Amino acid sequence: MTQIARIRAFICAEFAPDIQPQDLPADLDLIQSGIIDSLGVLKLVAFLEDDCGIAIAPEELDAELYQSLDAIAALIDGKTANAA
Amino acid sequence: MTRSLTLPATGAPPASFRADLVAELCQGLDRWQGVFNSNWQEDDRAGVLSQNRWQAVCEAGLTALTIPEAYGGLALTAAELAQVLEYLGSICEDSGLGFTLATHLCSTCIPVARFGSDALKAALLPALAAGDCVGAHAITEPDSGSDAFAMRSRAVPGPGGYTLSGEKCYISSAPLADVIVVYARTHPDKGALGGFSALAVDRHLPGVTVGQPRSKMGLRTAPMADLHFDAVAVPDGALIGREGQGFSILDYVMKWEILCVFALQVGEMRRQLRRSIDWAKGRQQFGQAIGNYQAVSHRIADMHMRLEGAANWLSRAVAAMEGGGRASLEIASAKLAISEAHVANSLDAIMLHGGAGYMSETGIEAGLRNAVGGLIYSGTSDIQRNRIAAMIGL
Repeated sequence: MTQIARIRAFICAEFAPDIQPQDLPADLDLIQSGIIDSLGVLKLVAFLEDDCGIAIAPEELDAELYQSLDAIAALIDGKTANAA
Repeated sequence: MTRSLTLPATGAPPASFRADLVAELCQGLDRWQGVFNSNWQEDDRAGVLSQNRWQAVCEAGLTALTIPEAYGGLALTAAELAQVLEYLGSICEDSGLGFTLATHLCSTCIPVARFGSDALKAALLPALAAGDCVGAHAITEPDSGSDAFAMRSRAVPGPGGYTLSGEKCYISSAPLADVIVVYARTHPDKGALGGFSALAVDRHLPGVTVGQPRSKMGLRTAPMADLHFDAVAVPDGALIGREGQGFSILDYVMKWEILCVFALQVGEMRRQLRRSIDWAKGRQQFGQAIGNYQAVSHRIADMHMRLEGAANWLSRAVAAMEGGGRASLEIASAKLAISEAHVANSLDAIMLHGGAGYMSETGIEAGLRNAVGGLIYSGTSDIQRNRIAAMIGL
């Protein structure tokens, strides 16, 4: 499973158990739609750090960075590119 | 005297740990112990913090612990800071004094240093380091406690700054503070994420009113008051970080606040246990020292177990913060474990001392009154359990 597929599966399992991972639109606003709230962002960040090995700085807790699967993918891509 | 050591869970300090600096700081504090503890019980009864004792905190360099070196501070890491504060807690009999220091460091010094603009850092950090400027922060409101981001305070953006209006309550250090980091809504359409900002508000600005000091169960030497902001014109430059970054800043600040306050408490528990052991060895009843009775010795063993459990949780939280991660689970666990251990041990200390423990003049009952606050501030025990449950997958 790719990293973004694992994140997609995590979001559905944790926050939207009624949605099948493949049915979660990549551009759906996760915050406006109420799927992720403030505690949810902390859980998601903990998952990214602990399970995906991605370091998230305190400044990177902004809602915009986790607003959708596309946004999360862009955040990870940016970090991977910087690390390379 | 044995130095209390809090090392990360790995058993070895991180490579960045400046052991010599930490040892020097701790030894330096011994010189100030007399002033820190002078007449603290009179302050406790009166519900005040005497100026000479706070001045000693500043002159001992404690207000500069977390400030970057470029601004006159020591830039201690989480591990270094925890150790110095644990030592302070072990020699300072007045929890309120340490609590006021932790409030200063965590409310203002830490967020300004981490998120502030260069101009804001230059304006505030040297004075915060010297203690000439005392910091506090304002989060809780009459209708928002645990649900912090239900706050109603508004900071309306306009030309050149913000118009701040709202009520804040139970604000530690409000009667002393020169600058108060106020969390307020800047975007009415957004929620906790993106809707709130942190502003470093000069307490002397027109429209800022500090209420009468509040009377409370414990931490009576850490003055507290409510705040009222009546259309206060706060300049743009007072914004900490970016507009809408309030949630991130508060999440960051709360971790440091828990680290600092509960490192102090682990030190306080060490002092409390030492005193209880000395008492149990010296106090004679029925022809022998009470420590010879298992009812007493087992109570002391239980106190030791709770203390070391608390210290281990502190180490895990420090290690997680040193690791650069969110540390949400470790911090919530440490806060819950240490606060509850401290209350239990404080009650045991009173039981061990009997009637003397119940008398105000021995200072033992103050330990319990002070410890109870730890179940509530910085996120109640119930809220920590919510966080723990969420973080372990519930």
